[in-house]
Amino acid sequence: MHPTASCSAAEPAPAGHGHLLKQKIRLASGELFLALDRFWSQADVAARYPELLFHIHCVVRATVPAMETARRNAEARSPADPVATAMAAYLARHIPEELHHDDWLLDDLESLGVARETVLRRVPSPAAAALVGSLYYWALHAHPVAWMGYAAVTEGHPPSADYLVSVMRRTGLPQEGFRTYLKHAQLDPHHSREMYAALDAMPLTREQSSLLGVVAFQTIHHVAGLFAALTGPQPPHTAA
Amino acid sequence: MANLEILISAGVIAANNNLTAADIQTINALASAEVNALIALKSALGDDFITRNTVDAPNCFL
Repeated sequence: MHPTASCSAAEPAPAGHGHLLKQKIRLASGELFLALDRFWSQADVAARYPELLFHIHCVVRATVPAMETARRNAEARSPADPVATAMAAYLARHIPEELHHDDWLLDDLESLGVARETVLRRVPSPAAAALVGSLYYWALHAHPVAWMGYAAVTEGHPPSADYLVSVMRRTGLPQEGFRTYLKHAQLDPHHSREMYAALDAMPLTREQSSLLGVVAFQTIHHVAGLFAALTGPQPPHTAA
Repeated sequence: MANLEILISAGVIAANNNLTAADIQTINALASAEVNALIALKSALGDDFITRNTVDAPNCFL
């Protein structure tokens, strides 16, 4: 059994898991910020933006199924595992808020001239598979609370509406291509607060607290890799 | 050996870092699983990586 698989025998971790996770993410986010900085600073970012949305769609189309997998595993461990019980309740509340975000992205791509059928026909990106695939592993084979380490990174650095507007001005890309990012600029701060509040209320073991850190560090690495793959001398080809 | 020294030896933290006492406390409290993950992922910890030109630049999202 994995050391994080049960919380019954382990010593409880100190309080403030959310705060501690935030501190760890802050310290480790340099790689991600550097990749974001390089991607968004490129002179030809307009040509690369549809490809970014394709990669993000590859991730987002798997979000709800991954959350459902974590929720089912949490329910199976409940009620013997209080953290699993809390996770099942959290995910049951949160899953409806994540529905159809993949459709929003398809709408944005369509407004940029990329047909929905083209996006859905393409082989998904290895970066997306690495990011979400590892999450399935952690949520199924370690503990469903691993979801929070992933979400803390992906929802914990929300896009800024002002920055998005500056990109639109700089690139001349239409606002319709940024609808999903703009919605997330509004939604993510709320989701992030809710997530950290839920985390603070969970009786995590030291091992589960460490699991959150490991998952967060790996998520930072994979998301940075996704942006780095879209940064370089040649703009990627996005079929229309 | 404290986590800080291990991570400096592994090149995850620069020897001439600007870490605060609170940062060092957080780092030294990391579990071995977290330290090993940071080394395996070739991560880079420290404030000098945090202050970027476009900190507001959009991330991937759920």
